[in-house]
Formats: sequence, structure tokens, C-alpha cells
Amino acid sequence: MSLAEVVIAKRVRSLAVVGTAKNVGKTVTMNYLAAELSARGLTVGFISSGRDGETIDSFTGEPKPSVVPPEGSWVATAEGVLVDTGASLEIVDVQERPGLLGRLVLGRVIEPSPIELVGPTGAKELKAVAASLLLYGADIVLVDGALDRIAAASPLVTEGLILATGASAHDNPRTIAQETAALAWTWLRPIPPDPKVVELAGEAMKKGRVAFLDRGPSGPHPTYSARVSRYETVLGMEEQVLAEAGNAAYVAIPGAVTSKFLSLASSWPEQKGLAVIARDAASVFSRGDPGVPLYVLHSANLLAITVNPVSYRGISLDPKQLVMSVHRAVLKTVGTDIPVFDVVSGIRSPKGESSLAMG
Amino acid sequence: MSRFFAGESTAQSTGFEAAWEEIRPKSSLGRRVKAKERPRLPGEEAALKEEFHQLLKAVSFYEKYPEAASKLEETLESLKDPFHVITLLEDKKTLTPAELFVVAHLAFSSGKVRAVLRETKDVGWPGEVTPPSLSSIQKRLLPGTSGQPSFYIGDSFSPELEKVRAERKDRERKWREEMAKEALAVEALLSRRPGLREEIAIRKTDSELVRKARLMPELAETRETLTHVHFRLKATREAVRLEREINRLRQKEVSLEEEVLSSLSRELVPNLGDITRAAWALGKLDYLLAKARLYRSWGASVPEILDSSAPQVVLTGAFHPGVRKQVRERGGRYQPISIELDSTVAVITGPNMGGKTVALATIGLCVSLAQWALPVPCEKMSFTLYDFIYFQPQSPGKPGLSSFAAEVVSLKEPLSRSGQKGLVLLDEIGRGTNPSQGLALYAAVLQYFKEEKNGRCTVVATTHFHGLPDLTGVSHWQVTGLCPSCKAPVGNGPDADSSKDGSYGLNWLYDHMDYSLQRVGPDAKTPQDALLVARLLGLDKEIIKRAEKIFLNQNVS
Repeated sequence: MSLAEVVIAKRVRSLAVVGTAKNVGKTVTMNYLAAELSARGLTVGFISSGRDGETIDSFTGEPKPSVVPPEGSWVATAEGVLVDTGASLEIVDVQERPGLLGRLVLGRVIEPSPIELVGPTGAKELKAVAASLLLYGADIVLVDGALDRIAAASPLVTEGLILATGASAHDNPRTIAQETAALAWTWLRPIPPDPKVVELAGEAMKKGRVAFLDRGPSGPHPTYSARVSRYETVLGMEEQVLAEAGNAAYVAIPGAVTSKFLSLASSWPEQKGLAVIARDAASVFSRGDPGVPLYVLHSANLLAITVNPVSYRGISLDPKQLVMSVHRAVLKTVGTDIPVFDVVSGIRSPKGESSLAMG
Repeated sequence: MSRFFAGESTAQSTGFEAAWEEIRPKSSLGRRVKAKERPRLPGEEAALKEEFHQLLKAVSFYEKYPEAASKLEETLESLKDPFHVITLLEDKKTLTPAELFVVAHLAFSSGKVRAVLRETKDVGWPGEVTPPSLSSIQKRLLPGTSGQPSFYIGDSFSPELEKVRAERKDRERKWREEMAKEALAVEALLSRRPGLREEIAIRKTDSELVRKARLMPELAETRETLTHVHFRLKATREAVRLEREINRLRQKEVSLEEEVLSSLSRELVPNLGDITRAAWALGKLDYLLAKARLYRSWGASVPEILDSSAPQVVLTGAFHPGVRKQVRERGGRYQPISIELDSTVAVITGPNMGGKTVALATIGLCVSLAQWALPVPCEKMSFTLYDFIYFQPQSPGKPGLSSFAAEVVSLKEPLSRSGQKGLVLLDEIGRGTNPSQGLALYAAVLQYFKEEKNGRCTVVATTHFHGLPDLTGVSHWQVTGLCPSCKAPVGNGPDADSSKDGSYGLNWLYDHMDYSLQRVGPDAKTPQDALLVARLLGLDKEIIKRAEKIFLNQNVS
């Protein structure tokens, strides 16, 4: 199954492609995926969460690869970057609210040419733009994101996620694999199993307050009640929030879940069995298992991981070895078979256990 | 806000600011028009009458043509603000494709709006909300567009551009064919066909492959890393020639595209007047419809404007939308008020919680909205235009000043403007100092406004001071209040426990208070309900008993 086939099979209409570091092949992945989807008759839409940093490769001094949307695809980008490429777009909307580098222009690609994507940074705006592109006729919208522009990857914005990683993140395939697996662990956090817990945590999130969910008397069907705290965030308040946890079974956190909070929660002397509920993985500022049960209200749909074996530092890892290492580490850490691709060489991970055997 | 609102908080305290926020045009053009609004002042009666006439037309449009109204709103909502583009055109600048799209969109939207206005012409749309036809611009910028507008520098704008684009595409096709031959040759070496611009990395440990690659005329070595040697397909002589030609044609194409943009921009300049008029007309239409929506959502009316030189306000069934909303939200019944302010000064008395302050705010709100040509929240209203409105709210609160001192400082403004026509709303002046001097001061202020030489203001004053109407000889209005036959719940009854937080008593007050105003004689007694209200609000029974005793003794002595 190719990357496009994986995406099509999951029937997602919006997909974030998030790079774990610079030069990890995010743009190559987007271009490859767009070409594959187009070849299968699907119309692709493109937006970016914010702006993707430098346009010149710091190692080669050459322009970094640009997104080249196929003919007929839909694009949303800032007016300010359309000076060179504006002519190849049929403009259908110029949104009123000015953003980074001017107003957001929506258009259909008349002729494929490199384009810089600059989009809104807020989750709500990104979702609205993606929805507009779908309305205009895109079958699937690809959202260019990065770990420092994570809104794109929130399940509240996009229905699916592809993580792009590679040799630019580290020289050692083992380290790349471990870091990617830790990231995948965070992005694959489940929803709490008890629907009542989900309901109470959801209500607390709406209020924008940290809330503790206390378990009622034990019985065949546990009951929960919410204790809404006065805290709007745990950021800088980690100890104070935990000090009020008492015997809570869960703590629901509306904003950022810091690594300090998770680390303290895992070793808090008066706390045994406290589980943390975040809004979604994009709100969790920690990679890998922190030693405390971690749930999300909106689970992400990690569809695939792509790897780039070539780094700007001159390192070229063996594509097959990298693909297998990453796949094996993710499978071992999260127990889920997430397909791993090197889209340039065409190498992909085998299904399930076979990767372990090969590793 | 302007000096029309005298005092620091008149616009806010009357509820005008909140009402202003409820006027929500759909487009930034409508918001521009709203931002330029100002109150109509004495001397502008005729223009204001015409504006209310227009508002009623817009209201009738919503009632008669709901489908056309939603179509119109949809078009207005999608409007793009063209004023930046207008400035660029005024400066004779060349527009970008996105900027031309904005103009094209305006032309397209104007056409749609004109069509709706034409279909509903019996509404009698005023000329100033009808955009001029921009069909020639639409035809020029949107050749062949029927559905949603879109802009692209298509071949139809320039036959030469069409020719150059065709040539460039032909060369690109030939280049791809040429390079494909190279890729085919490399396929034999790599066992896969490389992409035409792809970099090929071969591991150094595969030294034989690296050696072969280096010998291939189709491959050019691009770089060497610690582990790999990188190659790229080398362009043939023909491919290089084609690349040069493609670049030349691209440059030509870009320059022709710029020419198209420049020529289209130049063509728009003579139409600048119509473009600007269309933008403002659409904005005015949007704003007018926003006012009509508020009219409908409030169940409002438009006022009758009196030309009389003597100031006058007559309100029938007037309500305060903000307070009405709160009352309805708690499931209560809202009682509108009626009042005739036909003399210079009027005093309103009434029990605590009887709605005196709300009555003042309602009067101020109705007049201010009317002067901004907005719907008025009442069944019927007639009034004369004022130069200013002043509302002295209770506890104006100023750092470093007691409430009494703040009151005195604030009063200086309306007093200094008493030569103008003003609506002066005073809420219990002097209540923050000793009652006898407070009453004297209040009476003096009212007498000052009443004197003929200063008598250009309409003053409405609320008070608990017994004797103020009599002292000043002004017209006296009173909140009807609690009906004498209504029995207030007693503290030791079944309701006593539930009234600990005062909610029971408060609800009882809400239910039994008659908020209507009635004209009474100047010597009518000021209601003495403070202790009853305190009891209903759950104040300690012992304290109430003591207070009743003290009150009785005072009155006997």
C-alpha cells in the first residue's frame, strides 16, 4: 500500500504533515503525496500553519524545495508571497482579515509552479480555511505544519496526521527511531475509556478550568464527580494544582500540559493513580511516556510516518535501515503498526511483526 | 463618542453603547459606514425624518421579501473591502491579481445587489444605497464568469501572452522528452528510473556503482558526503538549449503578464468614481439593513420628530432592551413605561427597586438612539432634537472623590451647557450627603434649569427626597409601585427560610411591583417602602423591627 493509498483508505478530508525537525522531508512528502493523490483523481488543497521559516537551505545555499501543487488543486496562501506565483493561480477569494504577509488568498492552480504557503496560525482559522478549500472543490486538504506550529496537527483542525522525520533530526538511526516513537506515543494517546469521564472532562474544558474528577464509592459501575478548580492553566502552577488533587482519579487540563506537570504527577507523594486528560496531543508539551496515564479528549489519527535518510549535514543513512528502525521502535513503544515510508526511494515498512523480525 | 454625550459615562449608562454593539453590518463596508455615523442635531430634522423613512422601507423589505433579504445578506457578507485598492488606483499604481480580484468581486457583487434591488423595487429603495452599474468592469475582469467570481490572467487578455505561453509549454514538453531519454539510460544502471530533477545518492561502499555512475555521460556528480556520492541527470545539449529558451519565454511571459495587469489597472482609473460610489452604496445598504434587523429583533419603532422649539419627549410603551433581556432571562415579566416630558423639569419618585433609574436610562436611550437615526425601543415616540444628553448615574465613582464630590464635579458640564438644548437625566443627586442640604442642592439645581433664561433643557430627576417636587414646582411622576392591597410575605411565614439570601423577597418584589409611571400632584407623598424592601431582601428581622420603631417615633415626634 502506498502512502496515498493509506490516506485514501482512512477517508480523511484534511491531513496535517508535520516535520519533527527542519530538513526532514516534509515538503517532499507533501509533494509526493499530492502527486499520488492527484494521479488517483483526487483534488488536493494546500494550506500552511503559519510560515515555514527560511526558504534557503542553510547547508547547500540552494533554495529549499517548495510545494508544487498539481494543476487543478486548491491553495490558500498570503497575498504577500504571491508576487512571483500569483499568475498561475485563479483567485477565487481574498479573505478580509489581514494575516502574516497580508490577506489570505484562495485560488485554483492553473499551472503547477512552486509556491510558498503562508497561512493562519490559530486552530480555528486553519480549520475554517481548510473547510473553505473543501467547499471550493478539494477532496482532501494537506496542512503544512511543524512541531513549533503544532495547531495544524490538532485533531480539532485536521482529521489525520503524518509525521515527517529523518537524518536532519539526528545522525543515528536508533536515536531517530526512539524520538519518533516517543512522539508517536504522545500522538496516539487514547480517549478515557469511561464515557462519564469524557463528559465531565469536556465540560471542565469548556469552562476553561483545570478540574479534578473524583471517583465515587466503588461498585460495578464507577461514578465520578467533577471538582472544578480556580486554575485556568497548570503552566507555572504545577505544584499548586497537584496539591489540590486529593484522591482524584483524573485531572482534566484545558490548556498546555507541561512536561514538568507530568513528571511531578508521576512522582507526587500523595498521588497514586492520578491520570491526566489533555484536550489533544497538540496540548501536550512532553514526548514519550511520562510515567503517568495520559489521555486526550480528542484523539489524533496518526496515519503514517515518513523518513528522510539524507541530512543537510552530509549524512545519508541507509533508507531501508532507517525505515525499519523507526517502524520497529514505534511498534514496540505504542503497539500500533504505523506504516513508515521513504517516499524518495519508495521503501516502506512491511506490515506488523515482519519488521521486528527484519530488525 | 462625541460631545453629544455629555458626562463621562452617559453613552454607557443609558445603554447606548450596548445597543450600538447590536448593530452588526455584514461587511467591512457596512462597518465603515457605521464608524462614520454621528448624532443628528437640532436643525437636521428633515434629514433625520428621511432616514427613518428609509429605515421603514428596509424593515418592509425584510417582511415582504425574506428570501431576497437572505440572498442580499449573503452577498453583503462576502464583500471585500476595496478601499485599499481604490487608494492604489488613485495613486496610479498597478494592481496585483489579488487586488484586481477585489475590484472584480465588487463589480460582481454590485451586479447581484442591483438585481435584488430591481426585483424588489416596490420597496422604494433610496438612491444612495443603490450601487452604480459596474458591468463594464465585470465584463473586462471576469470574461465568461457566470457563477462565483474568479480572476486569472488568462490568455484572453493578450493574444501575445497566449502565443508565448503556448510556445513555452511546447518547449517544456520537448525538454521533458529529451530528459526522459537520459533517465531511461540511467534506469539500466540503478534499476529504477530517476525523476527528471531528482538527486540520486549512491553509497560509497558500493564503489563499483559509484565508478559506473561517474563514467555515465547522462549523470553529473553534484556533491559527496561522508557516506554517499550524489548525482543528477545531466542535461543534453538540446535540453540545455531548451532550458534557455524556456527561461527566455518565461521572462517574456512575466513581462506580458505585468503588461496585462498594468493595462487593466489603467483602464480602471476612469471608473474610480463609480467604484468608490458602489463601495459606499453597498456599505450604506449593509448598515441600513443592520438597523432594520435591530428594529425587528427589538420590536422597535421610529420616532415622530417634532419641529417645536420647546423641548419635548413623549414615550409610550418604552423599554430598555438590556434590562428587558435580563428580566426575560430570569423568566420575569417586563413592564414598559410611558411618560410625557412636556415641561422643562420633571421629577420621578417611587419606591426602592421601582425602576426609577431604568426609567431614566430608557428615556436617555430612546432619545440618543433616535438622534443617531436608529430604531427606538418603544411603541411610540415623539421628540425634539437635543444638542446633548447628560446622564448623571448613581455613584459615578472617581478616584480621590467621594460620590457626592464626583456628582458635583460632573454636574458642572450640563449646567455650563444649559444655554443649549439638552436632555439632562439626574439620578438622585445629593443622596450622598446630609438629607437637608442634599435636598436644598437638588432643588436649587432643578430651579436653575427651570428658569426661563436657562429653560432650553429637558430635565428628569429621580429622588427619594420628600418635598422636592413641591419645592421646585415641577411636574411630578411616580412609579406606581407596590399595590396597597398586596400583602408582602412576613418574615416568620413559610417563606422566611427561603428568603435568607433575599431571592424569595426579590422575586416577590419583581412580581408585585408596578413599574408604570403616573403623573401625580407636586405634593404627592414620596413612597416610604425602604424598610419593606429591606425586609424582603432578607435583612435581619431584629434590625428591621428596630428601624420600624425608630421611624415611627420620628414621625410621631
